[in-house]
Amino acid sequence: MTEELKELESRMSDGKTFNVEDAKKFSRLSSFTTVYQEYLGEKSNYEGLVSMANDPEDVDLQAEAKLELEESIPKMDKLASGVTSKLLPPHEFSDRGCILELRPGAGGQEAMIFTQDLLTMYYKYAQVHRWKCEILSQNESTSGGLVDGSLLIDHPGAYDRLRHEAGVHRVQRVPQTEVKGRVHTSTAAVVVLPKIEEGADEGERKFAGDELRIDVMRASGSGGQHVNTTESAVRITHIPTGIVVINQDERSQHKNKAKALMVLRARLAEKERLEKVQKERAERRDQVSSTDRSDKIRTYNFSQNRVTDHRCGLSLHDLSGCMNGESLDQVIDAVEAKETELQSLRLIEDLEHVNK
Amino acid sequence: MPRIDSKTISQATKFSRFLPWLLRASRGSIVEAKKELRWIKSELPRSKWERACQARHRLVPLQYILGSQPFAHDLTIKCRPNVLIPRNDTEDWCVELEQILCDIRKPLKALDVCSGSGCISLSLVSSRAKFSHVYGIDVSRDALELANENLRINSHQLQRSNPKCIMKYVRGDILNEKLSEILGTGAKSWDIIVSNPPYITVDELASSSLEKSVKLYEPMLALEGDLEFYDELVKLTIEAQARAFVFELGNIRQAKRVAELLHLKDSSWIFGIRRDSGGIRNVIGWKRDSEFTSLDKLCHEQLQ
Repeated sequence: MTEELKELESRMSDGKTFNVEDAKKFSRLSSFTTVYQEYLGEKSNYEGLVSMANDPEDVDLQAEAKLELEESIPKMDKLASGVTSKLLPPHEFSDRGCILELRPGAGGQEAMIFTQDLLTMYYKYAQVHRWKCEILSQNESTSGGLVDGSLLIDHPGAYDRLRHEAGVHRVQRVPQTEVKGRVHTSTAAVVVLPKIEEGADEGERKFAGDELRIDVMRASGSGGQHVNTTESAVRITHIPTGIVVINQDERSQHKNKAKALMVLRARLAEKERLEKVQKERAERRDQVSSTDRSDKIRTYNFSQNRVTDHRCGLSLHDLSGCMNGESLDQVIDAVEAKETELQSLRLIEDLEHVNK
Repeated sequence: MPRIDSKTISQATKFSRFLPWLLRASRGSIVEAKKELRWIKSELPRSKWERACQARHRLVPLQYILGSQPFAHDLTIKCRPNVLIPRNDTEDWCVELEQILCDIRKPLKALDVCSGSGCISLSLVSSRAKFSHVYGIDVSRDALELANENLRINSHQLQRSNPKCIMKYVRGDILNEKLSEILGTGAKSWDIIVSNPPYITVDELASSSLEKSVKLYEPMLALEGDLEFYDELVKLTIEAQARAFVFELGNIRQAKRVAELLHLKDSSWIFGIRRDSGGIRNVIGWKRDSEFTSLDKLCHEQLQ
């Protein structure tokens, strides 16, 4: 594999046939080589340390090397998994921003309050990373919490980082509304959509004239100068798929329409991606477990100050840190590592299958 | 005005002590009232919330209470009593018009007649369409003052899209003055005329088709009018030697009047009408074989 890499590299460094494809390939390749070189460096360091640790002549050196080995091993593990993840094909929308859509599940009022908490968590998470972030819509329930909410994180790569958040999140706590002090279990669902840029974006789809139905919601009447209503809600129906997007948070009807179109594009792109993934799965009759299942992915247990991700089995005992966005990365890191592991296992299986 | 039942009021009170004040303007809809409350809270300092909500209960337009209305491409249009508030329906056709005009390469000269807050002319200049001169004409000094303020506060957006465009708001009474009396030697050779003149008829003013908040708080000068304005707009279009126009209006008679008069003067004009969910909204015209033939994309129907 190193040879293959070198060959590609030398071909790149020729600089004779330089085009956009090559440039893309090159940037992927060079980012791989950086990680790979780091890994090789650490490996040779490790090997040196091992031989030192086995040196029967110098006892002091032996002890020191053992200490250093303790640091080196986890470092190498991390680099190794970095190498593997770089080798896997990148996700289709990996360089995009994302839209998070949140909805309460089972649990009534408490589920709505938890939906609000999750929205706040992701908002703070984006702030921690200094990512451009905007609440697209939040439909408050009269007695607290959210009936639905959505958040735009307009930062390249945000989709790749947050796509593991899709699924059902479960909360276990004594709700504010509970008088007898019992612990309730409620859920909220998170959907993660890629942000499709308008205009220059290759991924942008053009809508045919009869593909969309755009309704502005307002009081009946002759409109124009006759009314000065503040109602600015826009509803867009994508007729072929029946997807309906409503936006009403902005005072400007024009902005509501632009936002609704953005959400519609995102939903269509994600829908198409999921269909593709499902088709591929059906083709390979894939029964391997994966990290993007739609069932319960994580539990937030308030009384134990614990967050458990069911996909990677990680339990983090820093619930408040997670809810204010600071330690959510630890959970996401673990899920990503798990995904890399599963994917590379599958890749190896595939390769073995081909070799047979 | 439908009566608001006590259940809705108590539900609103539970959410916020301000919310019941907003139910009247939103015709009993808690969802709408909550949105207005959120806007009030996010745009005004806490000390003004209570008075703002009480003013809204008297049906003062929210745009006057907050002092502004967003319009088209990130424009903030200041709003004040005595000047008409920009409408969503107007924004709609402005945005559609700009998308058509941006295919024309040559920078255009546009005249905004009855310019009010300036929302139409400012949105044109802040769009991707190219303009060399855009003038607004209005009879009201309050409107001119406000349009000039809006020109100032949105100068960044205008600079970005049309840095070389010359914009100006001029006082003029189109019912009594010719264009040459208003603009002097600059009255000739304009490309396109846009206008949202007063078009609510006396009958309509007396009927319930007019929202109470409009009737109580917006200037009659900007609302009440009929064919007399469209007659003058036709004369003005001819005098300015324009090859296209888009006028907002309230009924089909006004559209037909424009088409008839202009056709009499010059048979090379083509006319269309544009509708929105409230009914007929615009009459649009362009000269055959001019660069404005793509304006037919704005029309739902040909006239004549």
